[in-house]
Amino acid sequence: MSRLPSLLREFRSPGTLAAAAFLGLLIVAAVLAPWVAPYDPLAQSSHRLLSPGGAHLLGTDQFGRDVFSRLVTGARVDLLVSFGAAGLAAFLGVSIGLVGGTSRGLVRMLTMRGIEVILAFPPIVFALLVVTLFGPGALTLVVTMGILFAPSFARIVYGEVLTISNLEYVQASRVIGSSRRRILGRVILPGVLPPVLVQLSLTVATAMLLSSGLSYLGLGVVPPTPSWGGMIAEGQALMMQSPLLLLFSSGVVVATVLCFSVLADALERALDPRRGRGRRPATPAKPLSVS
Amino acid sequence: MLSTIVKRLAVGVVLLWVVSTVVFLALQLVPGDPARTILTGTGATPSEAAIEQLREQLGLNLPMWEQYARFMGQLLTGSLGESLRNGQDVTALIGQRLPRTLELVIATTLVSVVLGVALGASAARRGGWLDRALTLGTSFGVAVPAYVAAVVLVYVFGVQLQWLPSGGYVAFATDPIENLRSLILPTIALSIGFTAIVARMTRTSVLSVGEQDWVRTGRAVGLTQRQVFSRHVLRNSLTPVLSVTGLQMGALLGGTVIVERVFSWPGLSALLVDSVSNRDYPVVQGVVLVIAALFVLLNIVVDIVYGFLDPRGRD
Amino acid sequence: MRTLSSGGARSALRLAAATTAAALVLTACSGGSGSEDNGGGTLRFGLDSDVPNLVTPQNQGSASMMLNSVLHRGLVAYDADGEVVPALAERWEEEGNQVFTFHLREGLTFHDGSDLTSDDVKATFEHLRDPEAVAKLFPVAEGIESIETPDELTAVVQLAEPDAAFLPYLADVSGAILPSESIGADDPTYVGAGPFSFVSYEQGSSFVVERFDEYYEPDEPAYDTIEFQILPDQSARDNALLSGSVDMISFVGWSSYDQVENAANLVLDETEGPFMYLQFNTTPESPFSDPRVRQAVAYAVDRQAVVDSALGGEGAPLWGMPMPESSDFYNDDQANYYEQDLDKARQLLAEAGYPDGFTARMLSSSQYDFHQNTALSVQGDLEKIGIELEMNLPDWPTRLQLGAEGAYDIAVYGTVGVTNDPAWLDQMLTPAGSQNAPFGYDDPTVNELLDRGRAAADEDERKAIYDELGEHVLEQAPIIGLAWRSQAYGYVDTIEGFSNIPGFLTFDSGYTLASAAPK
Repeated sequence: MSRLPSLLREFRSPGTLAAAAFLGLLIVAAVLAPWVAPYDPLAQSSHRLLSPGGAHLLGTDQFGRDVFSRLVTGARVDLLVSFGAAGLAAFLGVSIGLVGGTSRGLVRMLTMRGIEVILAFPPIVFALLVVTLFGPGALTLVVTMGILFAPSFARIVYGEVLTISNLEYVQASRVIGSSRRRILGRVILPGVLPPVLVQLSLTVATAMLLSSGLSYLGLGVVPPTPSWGGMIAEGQALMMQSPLLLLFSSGVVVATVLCFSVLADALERALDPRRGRGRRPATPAKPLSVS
Repeated sequence: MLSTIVKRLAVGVVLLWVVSTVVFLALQLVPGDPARTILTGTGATPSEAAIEQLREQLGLNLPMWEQYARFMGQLLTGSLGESLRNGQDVTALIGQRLPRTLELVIATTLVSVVLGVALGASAARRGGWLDRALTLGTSFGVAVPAYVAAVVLVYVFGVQLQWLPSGGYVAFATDPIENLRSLILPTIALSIGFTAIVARMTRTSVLSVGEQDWVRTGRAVGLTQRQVFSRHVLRNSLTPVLSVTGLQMGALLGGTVIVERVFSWPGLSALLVDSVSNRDYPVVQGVVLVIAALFVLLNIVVDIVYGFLDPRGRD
Repeated sequence: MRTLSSGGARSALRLAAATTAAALVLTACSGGSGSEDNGGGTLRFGLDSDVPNLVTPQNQGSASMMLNSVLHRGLVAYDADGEVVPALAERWEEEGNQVFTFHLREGLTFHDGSDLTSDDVKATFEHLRDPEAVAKLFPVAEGIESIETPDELTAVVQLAEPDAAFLPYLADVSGAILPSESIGADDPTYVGAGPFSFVSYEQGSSFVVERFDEYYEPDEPAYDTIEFQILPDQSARDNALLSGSVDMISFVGWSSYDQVENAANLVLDETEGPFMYLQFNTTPESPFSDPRVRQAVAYAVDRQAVVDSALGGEGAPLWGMPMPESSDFYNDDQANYYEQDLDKARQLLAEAGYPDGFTARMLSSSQYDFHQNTALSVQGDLEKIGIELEMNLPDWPTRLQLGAEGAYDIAVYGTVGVTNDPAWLDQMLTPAGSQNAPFGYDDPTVNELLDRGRAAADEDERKAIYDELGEHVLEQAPIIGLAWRSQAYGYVDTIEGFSNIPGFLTFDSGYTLASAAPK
């Protein structure tokens, strides 16, 4: 990969390093949550609303559950949902974009217009309808957001495919009889990879914002399973008695989303200098703020 | 140009038909019975016979295709039907709620664009610490969920300092001052992310325009730095800013849900959430359709304006 | 003239009056203050939810009860202690709880200026007993056999059978007397004979009423205007009170109690009103069809934990029958029947054939925090005796639907009695209660005792019957009480005369706004 050096250079900046370190730590903690968490995140006790310190690092909530254990376990759930949704969106979007870009006529029209139907729904409205339909839950969240975020990938891939197919050497290889599959695998896929990667990291951040918002509304992860958005809602209800609950839960959401977008920026500058410094400034195909 | 617009509008209409059909079908599958929900409220005890009678009265026992035909028939005559809950005309209901959401959307857009462009442009021009601070600030702004901002604003300015009302809505016609006062906090909550995105886009765009040859030429022929910047660079940088503003406005149309709830702002999103949790199907369909229509329309407008501003976009 | 006037002429008269009133309002808008100013000022009230189409006879929730109680009056009402007192009827006679003769006050008028007579009483009662009207008072109104109006000021109501609960039910705000021609119409029922008359309504935003000068109590109300601001969000409403942008709110959030109490100029007026309980699916397929298993649950759940975790520590544990202490039928032993005893719970489970416990479906709703958190708290306790609960927490309409279909083994629900009289228990313990009742529960003993309780005339006899009922229900445990929900109004301490009516009647408290006055 010829882009590796520039990637490394980007990662030498202290901000990017800090973001990467935070996320790395978070991911390790999430994966090892059952061992990292000192308590069962669901175990209730009569020690309600304890202040941080002592036996409970970050105190306890209104059920007497350990807040630190819930944050760590919540990280596991939220990261899984965000990565799952971004992954699904990338898979769906790339497939649709490739089909749309490499086919013609009716197929192309159906795929690209189908995407506009999804885009015509504002994200929260779409999520509200789907969740009411299928009931709240982590899986519903992943599928909903996977569908919601697919169009941005599809549009990027579609655009790239069109551009690449018109390049001389691609047309040349078509003339000399390379199979469509070969062109797709050798030329087009590597070409669309960098912008897709950048979009992927942005989508993880967006998914985290949206899923925490939905959990906050009671449309996301089903309690008692901890989720950050759910914990923010609980914290808001207890804002007057123990403001720290709200501070911890919203703090981790802000920090995590911040780190993901810092990483996405770095990745963008490294992988796609054209978009990073720009003739064509990086327009996120789907706006980041959702609520 | 005109034919493009007509074509886009036609596609938009088809799109809206698909959207409303999808929503109709989805609502048919949603569990929960409007009649039961209406009569039970949060703990009343209606008899099963009363519930069945209301279902009949509301036309909920009709076969699905007949309900669909009714719905489409109404749409063709320009009507969105009546609320199941209180028999109010859905169009009138939306007409009452939409301006309140638009008030939020427009105020937020104004604040964000003015502030975002000013911040982004000065950061790009001055560079140095201002630029670094802005970059950090925008990353942060984008990462703060609006509902977290809303909750914190209410706590600080509404409850602790008591400077501004912490929620509620007063019509502009009733009391303009109070209307504006109650607009401030929700607008700030919604503007944080929006401003950050606009600022970031402005900065990137100004930097890229500044590198182009004609700018250097301008300087070479003796225009001052300031003249070049304000007359040429900034103006040419605004095209992508415009498109990102359009996208954000679209997202806001349906994205004020949580902020409307936190501030008890009786807008369109609040109506949508209420009517979903009341299973008031005609209202849900109407609101989704209106939001989607605005969304589609906004996209068309942005594309057209974009086409005017950016010659490369015309084909 | 009154006796001769036909319905048509009367409505024409009312229409004229209404038009005049509208014209007055218009002039008032353009020319500044139009209505007579008593110096009473305006009460700004933060109301917990919107009422888009007020239909007074129906059960439309607590916010509609508040609006009804200022706009309307029935023949009888509740006073601040929850006693039934005269309202539009200045007195009445009853014979064996079966024949009630009401005597109206003289010179009563509705807000539109038309007279209120026994014809309006008759029309209202006819409506209440019409099954199609889905009236809140239908459970007692269906027992009405005839209504006679010997003269304009007298109405004689004859019941098919004696009903001790008739008057307490009738005092509910939904029993208000409405102008006969407005009954069953599509328009909201804004015109009444209550202390305040309707001025304006803006959906989702505000509801304004003003002093009705012809109200039957000449010195009431003290306020010129009440401006209800609709603030559905809990914290927005609490904050509105704390920041002084309203003078009074309903449903103070539990987490704000301390703040309201500690604020120098605010009063927290609290009572234990609604309650949370568990319903069981009692059909044979459910493990809870065995009363011993239900008792095991009753011994396993820590009620204080429910109060602390789901109700923010406000409210009170409910270890027995859901009968408010303010009711004449309160029985201290039955109110504290159970206690937490995990060994006993395990033993009961073993006797029922579940020594190792089992897995069951729990139904509650994520739409209301306290419903969801009650379910979570119960889940934690039942785990200790080996009952694993699979949680189903859909939104409210889905929860109602699944509850009615019996798609649960155990469910969390909350409700409030219509009156402090135990007659309303039929809405919880018999199939007539639909949503409130445990699925599949139809117990002949319960049904018979309920019938006898209503028919009995003597108060001591009734008390004995309801004690017997309580004993039976506690043993059978088709429902299990969990916790009383604290219900509070918060207001500035310059308001005098408002009172939170205790027990189930808390939502009728708007009655006392008539006598509320600024200091």
